[in-house]
Amino acid sequence: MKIVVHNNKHEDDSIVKGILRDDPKTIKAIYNDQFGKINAMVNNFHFINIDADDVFQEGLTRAIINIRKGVFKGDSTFSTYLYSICRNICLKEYNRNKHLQASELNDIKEDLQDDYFDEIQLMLKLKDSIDDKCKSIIDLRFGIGNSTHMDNKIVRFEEIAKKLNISSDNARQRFGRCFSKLKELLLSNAQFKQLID
Amino acid sequence: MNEKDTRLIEDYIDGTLSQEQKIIFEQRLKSDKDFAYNYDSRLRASKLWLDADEYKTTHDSIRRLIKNENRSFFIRNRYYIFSVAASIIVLMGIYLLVYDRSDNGIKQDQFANTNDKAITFASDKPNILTSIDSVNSSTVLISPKNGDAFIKDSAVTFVWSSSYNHDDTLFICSSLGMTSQLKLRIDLSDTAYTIKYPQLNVGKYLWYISDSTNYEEFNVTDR
Repeated sequence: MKIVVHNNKHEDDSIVKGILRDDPKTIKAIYNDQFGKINAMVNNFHFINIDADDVFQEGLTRAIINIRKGVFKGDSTFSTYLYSICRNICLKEYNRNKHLQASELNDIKEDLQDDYFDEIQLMLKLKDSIDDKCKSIIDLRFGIGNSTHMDNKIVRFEEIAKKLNISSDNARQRFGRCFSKLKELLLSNAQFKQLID
Repeated sequence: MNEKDTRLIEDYIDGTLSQEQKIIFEQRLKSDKDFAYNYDSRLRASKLWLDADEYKTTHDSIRRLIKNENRSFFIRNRYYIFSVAASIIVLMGIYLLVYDRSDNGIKQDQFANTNDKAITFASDKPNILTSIDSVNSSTVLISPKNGDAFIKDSAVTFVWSSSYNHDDTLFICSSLGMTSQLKLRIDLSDTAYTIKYPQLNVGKYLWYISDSTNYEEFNVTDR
């Protein structure tokens, strides 16, 4: 079955539904229909060294997360919405070098705060900087890897202890130590402080 | 934050505190700013951790799908791509075939003026370019001329003057049908060339240096 992405309400509904059920065909259809436009837009930013594929992937990730969180209400078409997010990513990159006026950035009403995605990027960097043992116990505590990303649940230390074949207290201590380290890294990070101020 | 508070916060999140402990915990959140900050930062960091995981999972999945989509574009269109490639190969083959045939068709001499700054040959294959002769109308043929006679088997000296000093070709032809009897490689700067034993039969001849329109006649006689 081939899904064609058109700019109308009915098609937008099917896109949102497809995204909510993690339908790969919907993602492929969005890519086939929208990438050309995004690519042309990115190529118009002559002064920034940014790849259209990266912008598209990041923009679509943001759009999908916004849809999952119910931020996107359908006030604009999905096509316009995705385009605006991608354009903002480019403008922000441009701004890093050129000190663009804030007013020049697109005002997307149905977007999570742009800074939030910067916080996420920062967290991903921090995640990479901590050791694997710490990463795995934090993941276990938050139920990552147990179920889908949509319904992570806090896993009690007794359960973690069983999985790791250690005592419950040991699991609690290990998590406490690792999570404190993570918080310390996060809260002492200048970029993070700038984002939450 | 001390270990006791860390444990308390985790127990509150796990829901393992008694009702009484829970009330005390919530009251402390309102009265103790540091404790409330620690609790908030614990929640914020965990939310960010989870959201970062969701972001990464979603992003990786999109990247994988797009990569497969790009790959499947070639698979889906492989017959089209192969047919275009095959067409290009066939067209190139036809072009080379026609090109070679047109090369073979060029057998006649080609001419160009020496005053020209550039000469373009219709066929430019050096391996089939056997000789290059200049057509030089400014060379003056001095002797023999006007039917000068030579006795058969005696030496004949051809004399000319030319402002050039490169190699050229002296032709001796039977005047009947302009059939070439001898071709002699000469240096124009020499101005003369003697054939000691010409072995020409009795008859009328003409000679020229490259330019067949600029010739002189001579005769070979018995005595």
